[in-house]
Amino acid sequence: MIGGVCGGLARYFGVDVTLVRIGMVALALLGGTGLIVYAAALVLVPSDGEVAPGPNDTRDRALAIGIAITLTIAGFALGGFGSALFPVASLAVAGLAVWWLVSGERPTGGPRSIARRAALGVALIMGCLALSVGSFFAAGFGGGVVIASLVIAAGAALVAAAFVGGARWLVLPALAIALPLAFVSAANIDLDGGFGEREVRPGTLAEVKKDYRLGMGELVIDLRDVKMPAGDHHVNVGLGAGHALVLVPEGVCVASEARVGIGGVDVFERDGGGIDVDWSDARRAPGDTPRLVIDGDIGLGLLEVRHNRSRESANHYDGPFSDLDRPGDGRNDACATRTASSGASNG
Amino acid sequence: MRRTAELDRLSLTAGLVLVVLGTVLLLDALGVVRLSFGSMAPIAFAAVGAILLASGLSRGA
Repeated sequence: MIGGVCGGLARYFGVDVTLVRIGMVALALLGGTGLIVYAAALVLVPSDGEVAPGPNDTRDRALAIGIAITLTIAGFALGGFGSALFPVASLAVAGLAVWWLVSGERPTGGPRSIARRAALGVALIMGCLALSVGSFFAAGFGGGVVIASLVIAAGAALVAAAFVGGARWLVLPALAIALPLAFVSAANIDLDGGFGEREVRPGTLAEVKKDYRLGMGELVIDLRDVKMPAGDHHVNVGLGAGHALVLVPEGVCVASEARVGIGGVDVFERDGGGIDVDWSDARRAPGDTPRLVIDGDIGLGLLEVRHNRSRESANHYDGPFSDLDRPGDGRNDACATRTASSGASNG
Repeated sequence: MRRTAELDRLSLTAGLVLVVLGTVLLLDALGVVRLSFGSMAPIAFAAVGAILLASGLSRGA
């Protein structure tokens, strides 16, 4: 296993390594407590090539590992992953590991020194998390140019600093703002349009807007009260992240196109999903039948089109690439035929 | 005689990687190029990988 933790513990306690491995796997299966013990040992136990620690170091490390084991076992006893102790212990160990990776300082020394490094690591994690969240939302609201410029500026500063001793502390914050921007750009997430749940239910065709947009949340466009005459009617649905549901009246043929960064499209009996989804369900309507042409632009989430809002259709998604034909959801029966260009592709 | 500071290879590599990554992101934000996950993911992973590689090599040096 990674880092030779089981072998090291077996040698330390003078037992067979198989017993330690079985115990570690058992702890891992029983609520995941073995993972935190393993991570703590990986960080705290010295490697074979390391200088042998003195009596105080050995005592401190044994104390730290004992505390980690006690916390995780207590966490398991109080509900495994669900208790508060497990996340706290996990965060502390993660903080130690991050600080070790960033600074190159192994968590050696007394408990105070180890606690200080864990706190610094946790602070670093929290700071980067805050930067990432800020970058995600700023990019989603159209601040991509500013953030990309900041990334370039940070890179240029690092290059300049490399000749005068370096500025390694700048690498993580720069990555923390660059990677969410890359994610938002790739998924084409646009958060303009507000947050939360929004439901619109126009009563007449005149009240139907051409564009409906929501930044993040659930958007329901209920067109079931609209009497649509024969001919084409266009609706554009934009959603940054979340779930968009379009309810259409019976007797209306629905043709749809959509681009989805990550997520899926579910139109009556057809669906598709994944990343970089380019959805097209081109349908023709008979001469006396109205056709609703839906153009979706979804960053992260699901676009659904149904005749009825049922529990299954509103809140349940069976996953991509599983052709659905749920009773009560209706079919796109008003259309004449499906053209050869229908389908979803992942680009 | 004034002593010259040693070149920090990690900062240099990470800086260059971030400049390239930032430029790609800027071009995408300006609409010059349109990057999907299929093209953005390898770029992002390569950037992180290059920085980790530089970190490991500079530590071992």
